[in-house]
Order: sequence, then C-alpha cells, then structure tokens
Amino acid sequence: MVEIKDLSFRYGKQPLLFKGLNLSLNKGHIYGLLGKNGAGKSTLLKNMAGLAFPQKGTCVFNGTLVSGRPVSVLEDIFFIAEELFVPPLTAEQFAASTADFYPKFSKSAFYIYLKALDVEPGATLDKLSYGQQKKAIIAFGLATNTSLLIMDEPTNGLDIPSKVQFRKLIASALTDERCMVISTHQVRDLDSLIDTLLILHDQEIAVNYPVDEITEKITFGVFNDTSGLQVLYEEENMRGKNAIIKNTTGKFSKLDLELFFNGITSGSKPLLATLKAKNDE
Amino acid sequence: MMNNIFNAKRFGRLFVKHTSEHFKTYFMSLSVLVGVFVLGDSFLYIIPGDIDIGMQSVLFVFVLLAGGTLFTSNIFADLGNPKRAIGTLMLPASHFEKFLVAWLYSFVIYCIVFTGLFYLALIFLVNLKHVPNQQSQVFNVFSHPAAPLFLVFTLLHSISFFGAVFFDKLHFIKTAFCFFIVMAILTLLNTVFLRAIIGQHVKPAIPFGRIDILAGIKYVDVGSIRQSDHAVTYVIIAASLLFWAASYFRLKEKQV
Repeated sequence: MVEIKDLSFRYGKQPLLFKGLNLSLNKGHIYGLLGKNGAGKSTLLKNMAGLAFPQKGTCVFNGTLVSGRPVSVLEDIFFIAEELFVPPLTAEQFAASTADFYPKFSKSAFYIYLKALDVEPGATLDKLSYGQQKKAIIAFGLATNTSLLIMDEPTNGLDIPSKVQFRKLIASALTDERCMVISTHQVRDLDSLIDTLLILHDQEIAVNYPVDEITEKITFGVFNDTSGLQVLYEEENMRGKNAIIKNTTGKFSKLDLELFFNGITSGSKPLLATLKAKNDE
Repeated sequence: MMNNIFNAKRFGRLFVKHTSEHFKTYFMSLSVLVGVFVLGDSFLYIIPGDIDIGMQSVLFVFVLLAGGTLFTSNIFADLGNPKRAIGTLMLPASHFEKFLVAWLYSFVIYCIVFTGLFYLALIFLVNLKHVPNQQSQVFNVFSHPAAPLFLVFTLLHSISFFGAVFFDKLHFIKTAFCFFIVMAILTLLNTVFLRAIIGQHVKPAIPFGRIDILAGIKYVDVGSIRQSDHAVTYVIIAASLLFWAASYFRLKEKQV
C-alpha cells in the first residue's frame, strides 16, 4: 500500500533527517511508529501523506506518487495531525461540509464514534477543549474509512478513559482493506493495540517487525540475577534488573514496549542482531 | 486524470465549505468595508458644495486598491499556519479547485461586492445631500478613464495573490516591500536604458510609462503612452496571468 524507497529528507540547510530510508506498509495492519523526540516521526508521516517532499527517493501510495497530492490519493488518506485546527462549526456541520469529499465516509459510524468518545455532535468545535477537539477529529477520521489513516500523537490531550476508548475504537475500525499508522512517544498508549512495530532511529527505520515475531524471538522480565541468561539489554530498577533476553523456550511473553524501545535506541547490537537473525531465517 | 484537476461537483462542495468556514471573517471584512464607505461618504457629505466626481473616484480607487490587496494578501493565510495548512492541503480537492476558490473570492466576488457597496453608499449620499440648482453626478466605474482601474487592480491582485501563497506570515507587508523594491530597481534600469538610447537626460521613468526629456531648462513629455498604447494593456494582462500561474504552481509545491 505504502512504499517508501531510498528516502532522504532535510529541512532547509539542516542535517539530513532520513538517509536512504526504506519502508513498506500493508493493508490490514496497525503500525506503531516510535522514535525519540526529533527523530522525525511527524516528518516521516508528512512525507507519507505528501505534505513534505523528499530531496531524494519516493513515497508511493497504491502505485501513485503522493508528492503531487492527486485527489485520488487524498480521497483515500486521512491525516490526524498532532496540532489540530478545527473550524468554527459543530461536529455535525463539519461532517456536512467535509464528509462528501471522502467517498467511503459513513455518517452513522461517525455518530457512533462521537458517542463512544463522549463528544457532543452539536457543540461548536473551536469552543471545545483540545482533548474534545482531538476526539471529534479522530471520530471523523475513522468514519472516512480511508485505506490509510495516519495519526500523529493521537493520544496527546486525551484523558485516561478516552485513551482506553480510543484503543477500542481503533481496534474495531481496522479491516483487511485498511492500514493505520500511529506515531507516539508515549509508548504505553500503544500497548496491546499495534500489530507491527516501527522504530525510527539514526535516520532510518531501525525496527520493522510484527509484535508476534519480536516476542517469538525475545522475552522480557524482571530478574534478581541475570547471570547465565542470554541478556540482550537490561536496565536496573528498584525491583531488580529489567531485562530483554533471548527467547529460548519458545513461549510468548508480553512485549514491554518501553524497555524494547530503550534497548533499540541505546544501540544494543545484540538485540538488533537477534531480531535480524530471526527475520532472516 | 481530469478528475484530478477539476470536477464541478467537487468544486461546488469546496466553495460551500470555504464559505461556511470563512463566513464570519468575510462578514467582518464586509462590515469594515461598509464602515470605510460610511466614513468616506460622511466626509463628502460635510464638505460644502456638490459631491464631485473627482472626490468619488478618489474614494473608489483608494479603497478598491488598498482593500483589495489587503484582502487578497490574506486569502491563503491558512497555508502559513501548519495546523491549518494540513487540513487545507489534505482535503480531497485538486490544487486547481483550491486555487480557483481563492481567486474567485479575492478577485471576482471582491470586485462585485466592492462596486455594489460603493454605489449603494454613494446613491444614498447623493439622495441625502441636495445642492440647490445643481444636479449631482455619479461616477461611472465602467467608463473611461475609470475602467482601466480594474486593469491596475488586476495586476495588483495577481501580485498580492502570489505574495499570499509565497509568504507564510506578514503577507501584505512582505509583498508590498518586495513590490516597491522591484519597482525601484525596474525604474532605475529603465531610466538608465532610456538615457542610453535617447542620449539625453530624462526624468526617472517607470517601464511603459511616460518619458520626460530635458530640453533646455524644461522637461518635455514626449511619450504619454499609457493611455494610448495597447501594449501597456497587454503587458499588464500578461504579467497578471504570469503571477496567477506562478501562484498556482507555488500552491502545488506548498509543504508543511
């Protein structure tokens, strides 16, 4: 669905943010895009949507270059930005003026999502709190039924019940024809939601593996003593050693996103090598 | 392919969406315009004698050009704000349709609304102020020499339109600054060029403008071509088309 090849990008005369980045996204998946602050998560999403143009390489959506922003591409992509702008209209009025631009928009689904997220359809959007505005746009984005839904830090500004509801809605809205990309630096918000993990680090996609594949290869745990274990990465905490070890038992453990992210961004070579070796088999 | 460039139904939807989202701002702009006319007409009302055509035309020209360029400079203000720009650029409508909505509002609709309001205020004033033994005349914007004003407005609109999409902030100030700098450079180069080909001292002259040659101790106007030569009209139209086209391509290249 999305094919990014040899992408290089920089803002003005600043250093390269991406260098020769390659990425392929497929239908039927929820991708979680993680990266440190300034790694270029938002910029990568903008390149994917045709809002920023690469200096080198290509971003293609269903066989069409996104940089020209053709209508056929825009009709099938919805982008929820981190910082939103909402017009001085109610959610109902906004849907009435904008929904027709999206051929697969479902009005009934929009009202269901609004209700689930506790947003009043008759309230004027620009008078709502930031969190409520975000929920209204998330509801609209889900209701567009576009093949690609890009969300940049969607949980920013959401309270805890809304985050729970958000996860439920995202999971329920995924179909075999749809691909969702969620970028966040709050890794816990993606727990049990994503099926494929992307980590952007050092100008490239350092990790692009399904969660199942990761947990098949490595396991997570807290240990008093890790001697004798094949430790790939570990952190000291008050309870002992929080470690990632090689999965030699074949049993699946829950992916500790935060620890895994720290392991990757700290440049743990054994961890990367283990993942890669598994992938190559 | 054509569907990616223009679709009448989609364009209609975009026009309605743009109107509903900018209605308040445009209504306020309209109110300001009414206020300016009320103020200008009040001035014409209190000065003694008939409301002459000269005063009417000054009011019309000044407000048309100043208001029009100011309004046009802000027509793409959404693109200068990343939050708004994402919504605008990602909306499933072609660049041409987005361009056309902005062009229609800032050029066609502005001219019609402006001229209508001007006459409404003027006719009201003329009826209010009766000068004994005199019949008030009303300035006709469609007759010579007023009609070329729209040509001048066309050029200034196209420049402001380009500035609106080219700059991210302070569109009006930056466009006006660049306009005056470019005009100063063109005038300087044109004057040097004229002096070189004529071989005599001439007053600083703008391109396609009049030429004042020094003859003895007096300047003689030898070429007041602005009103007689169609070349000026063609140059203005060509330049306007060029700026509008440049604005379209700039819109296509806009990034966030």
